[in-house]
Amino acid sequence: MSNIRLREEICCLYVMLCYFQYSPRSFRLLEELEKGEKGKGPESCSYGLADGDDITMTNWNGTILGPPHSNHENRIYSVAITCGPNYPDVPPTIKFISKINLPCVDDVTGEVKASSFHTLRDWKRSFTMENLLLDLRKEMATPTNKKLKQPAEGTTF
Amino acid sequence: MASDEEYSLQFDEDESDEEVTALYESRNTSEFTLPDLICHKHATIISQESEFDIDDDEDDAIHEYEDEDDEDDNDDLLALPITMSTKKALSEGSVPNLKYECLTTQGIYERMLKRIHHLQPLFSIPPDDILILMQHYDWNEERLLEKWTEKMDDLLEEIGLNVTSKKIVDNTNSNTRGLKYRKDFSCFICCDDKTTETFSLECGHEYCLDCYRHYIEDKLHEGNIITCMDCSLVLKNLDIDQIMGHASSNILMRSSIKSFVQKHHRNYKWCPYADCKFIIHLKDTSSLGEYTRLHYSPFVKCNESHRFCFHCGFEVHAPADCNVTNAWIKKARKESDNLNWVLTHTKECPKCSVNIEKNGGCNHMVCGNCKYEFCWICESAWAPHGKSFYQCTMYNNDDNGKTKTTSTEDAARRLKRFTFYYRMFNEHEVSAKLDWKLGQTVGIKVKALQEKIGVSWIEGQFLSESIQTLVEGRTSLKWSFAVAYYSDPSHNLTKIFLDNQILLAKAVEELSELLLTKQPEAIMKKKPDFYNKAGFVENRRLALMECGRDLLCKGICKPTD
Amino acid sequence: MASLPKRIIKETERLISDPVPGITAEPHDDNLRYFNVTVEGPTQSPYENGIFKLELYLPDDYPMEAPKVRFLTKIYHPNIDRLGRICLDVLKTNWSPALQIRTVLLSIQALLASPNPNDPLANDVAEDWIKNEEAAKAKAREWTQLYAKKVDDN
Repeated sequence: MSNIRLREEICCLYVMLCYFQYSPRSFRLLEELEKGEKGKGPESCSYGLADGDDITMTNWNGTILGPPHSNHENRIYSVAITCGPNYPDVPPTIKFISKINLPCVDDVTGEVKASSFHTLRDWKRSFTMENLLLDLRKEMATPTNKKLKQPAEGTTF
Repeated sequence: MASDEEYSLQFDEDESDEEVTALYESRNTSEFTLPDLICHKHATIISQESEFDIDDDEDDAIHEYEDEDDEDDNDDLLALPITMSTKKALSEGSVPNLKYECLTTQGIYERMLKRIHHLQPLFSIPPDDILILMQHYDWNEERLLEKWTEKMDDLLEEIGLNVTSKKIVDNTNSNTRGLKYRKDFSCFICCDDKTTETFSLECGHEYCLDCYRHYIEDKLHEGNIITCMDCSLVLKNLDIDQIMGHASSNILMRSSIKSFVQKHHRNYKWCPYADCKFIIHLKDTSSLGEYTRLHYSPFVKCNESHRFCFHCGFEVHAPADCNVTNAWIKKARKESDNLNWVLTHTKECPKCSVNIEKNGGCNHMVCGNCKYEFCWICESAWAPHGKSFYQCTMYNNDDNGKTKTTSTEDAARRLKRFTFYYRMFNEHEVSAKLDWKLGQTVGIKVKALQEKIGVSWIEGQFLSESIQTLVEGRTSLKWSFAVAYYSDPSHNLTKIFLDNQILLAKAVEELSELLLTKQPEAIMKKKPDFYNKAGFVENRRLALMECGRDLLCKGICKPTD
Repeated sequence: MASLPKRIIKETERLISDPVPGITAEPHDDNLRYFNVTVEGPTQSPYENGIFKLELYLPDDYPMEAPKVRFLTKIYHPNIDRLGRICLDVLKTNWSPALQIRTVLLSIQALLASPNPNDPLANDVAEDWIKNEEAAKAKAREWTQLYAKKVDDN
C-alpha cells in the first residue's frame, strides 16, 4: 500500500466530513466476550469462545437454561454460534447441539432457521449473542411452544 | 497495619455541640431532595446489584474485624445487657446501645474541611493543598500525617503539588496558572485552530476550554485526583471550578467521599432506600456481633425515617435475622429467573371477569361490578378470611399424608413451596407500597379538610402515625414469610409463629381497610378506630417478632440453600 | 452522523508523513477510525526480526477515551493474551488525551522490549516467565519465527 493512496483518502476525507463509524467486528466481539467472561449477563444464558486461541473469534458455545413452567424446565441446552466475517452487520448462525423440538429449529441439523426466528430474520447491528440466546429462551416459553413434546434429555443432533 | 479505629473519622472528639448543630443546619438547607419513600430498594431485590450489595471484599483490616465478630466465645453475651426496655426498643427498630449519626456526603465533606482547617498548623501548605493530600490518602488523616512527617517534599512531588521543581514547557507565555484568552490558538487535543479561552497550570500545558471541560467532566464522577492532561501537576478545586464555570469540584468531592464511604462500609452505610442520600455512621461496631448472634438485628434510622439493618445493610427485616434475609434474597435472586411471575396490579374478578385494579394495600377486594368479595391473594371468596382464619397466609401442606415422592416431584414441590412464600412476600411488599401511596393521598385530603375547618395538625397526626405503623406491620409480615419458609413446619413453635402471622395479617388488613375510607370527614371521625387498629397491629407485630426470634434462637428456623 | 474529528485527521496525516520507525499504521478504506498496524519487534528482544500485526480502533469519545488495540499476530508475551489483548496502563487507567496513536504504539513496542510478568494478562505465560526466563524467551523467539516472520512484499 502506498502513501499516495492514503493521501488521496485523506483528501477525500476533507470533502466528505460526515461519517458515522461503527466499532469494527473484532472489538465488538471482544466487548461481548468480556461481558460473558465477567458474568455480567443474565444467569439463564451463557456464552464463550469455543476455542480460546481463535484470534478471529468465529466459533462460540452457548447454553440456555430451559424456561420454567414449560417442557424445557430444568434442562440445559447447548448451542454453537458462528460469527462470520461480516458479523454484526450480518447475523450469526446458531445451531442446537442438544436435541430440541421447536418450530424454528431444523429437526435434522439443529440449525435455527433464520426465516422462522424473528431475531435472526430482523437482525440489527446492535443485537448481540446475548439477545439471541435470551430470545431463543423466550421462544421456548411461548404458549404454543412450551407444551411441545421434547426428545429425551441428553440426546444431541 | 491500620486499626479499625482509623476508619472512624477523627473529628468527633473536638466537635462541640454548636458545630454539630451548625452542620445539621447546613445539611438541612442543602439541595437534597426528598427521597421517594414509596419505592424501596427492595422492590428490585432481584436485580439489585448495586453498591449496596452485602458481599464483602474490602481490605484485610476490616476482614479481621469481621472474623472477630463471628467467632466470639459463646456465653459472654451477657456483657450486653438486654433488658425489657432494650427489647422493646429493639423490636421497635432502634438499638439503644448503638451510637450512630446520620450524615450526607456533603456533611462528611464539610467535616473533612473542618479537620483540614484544624490540621493546617501542622502543614506549611494552604488548605486546598491539604485537601488534595487527604483525597490522595482516601481521607485517612493518620496515614497522611505519617507520610507527611516521613517525606513531606517527596510527597508534594509525588502527588503533583510541587510546582517549582516541575519541568516547565518552554513557553513563557503560558506558565501561569489560570484561564487565558487566545487568538488563533491551536489546541493539541482537538487540533482545532480557534480564538478561544484556554487553561494551563504552571507546567504550561495549555489546552482549549472545551477540551478541558470534556476531560474534567468525564473524571468528576470517579472521585480521583485530576491532573494536567500531559503531566502529573494537580488541578485543585479552584482550578476545576474556574474551568467548568461553576462549582463542579463539589461533584468531585462528593464522588471522593462516596468512595470513602464504600471503602469503610464497616462503619458507614448508605441508607438502602431508593434515592435516599443519607449515610449512617457507626463509630463503634463492636456490639454488632452480639446483636446478630442473639438474632436481633441492629436497626438504624436515617433522617428520612427509613429504617435499615446496619449489619447487613438491608431494609428493616425483623422477624428475619440477617442470615435468613441473606439466604432468602440469594434464593429469590436465583429463582427469579426460573419463576416468571407476572406481578400485575390488575386482576379479573373471579366471578364476573371484570378487570379490577388494586388501588390500596388491602387484600380484601370488592368487585365494583358484581359486588363479589374476594381475597386478592388466593382469589377465593373473602368470607372465610374475615372470620375464622386467614388461610391465604398459610401454605397448606396438603401432601402431608403422602409419604414417598420421587426426587423430581420433590424438587417441584420445593419450588412450589418457595413460589408460594415468595408470592406472599411480594404481595405484602407491593401492598406496603400501595398503602403508603394511598396514605399520602388520604393525608392530603385530610390536611385540606383541616385547613378548611381549622383544626391543628396534631389532630391529624394519627393518620401519618397509622400509615407508618401499617407499613411497618407489612414489612414485618413480609419478612416473616422468609422465616416461615426456612422453619421446620412440623415443629409446634412454627405453628405458633404461623398463628401469630395470621393475627398480624388480619390486623394489618383491618387497618389497611380503614384507609380506604373516602371522605376526609369520615376519616376524622374514625380516629379512635385508627388508634385501636394501629395499636393492635403494633402489638401483633411485636409478638410475631418475638416468636420469630424464638424460632431462630432455638434453631427451628435455619436458612438452607 | 458525526464528522471525523480534526484531531484524528491530523494524527493520521502525521503517521503517514512522519512515520515512527518500525511502526506503520494505516486506516481502513471504509472506516477511518480503524487502523491496520504493524510493529517491528525491538532489537535485542526475543521479538527481534518479527513483524507483528495489530488492529487499532478509535472509539467515539477519542481522545477522551483510549484507543482500543489488539495483536492479530500470535505472540508469546506475559502481558498479551491468546486473543491478542494487551495489558498496558496507558490503554486503561493511565490514558490521557494528550497521548496519541503514535505514543500508544511506541508504548506497545516498549512493552515488547521489556515484558512485565508481575502484572500479567496471560497468567500461564507470566508464570513461565518468572520460573525460567531464559526458556520463556526462547519460546518467544520461537513463536516470533513461527508466526511473525518478515514476509517480503506479497
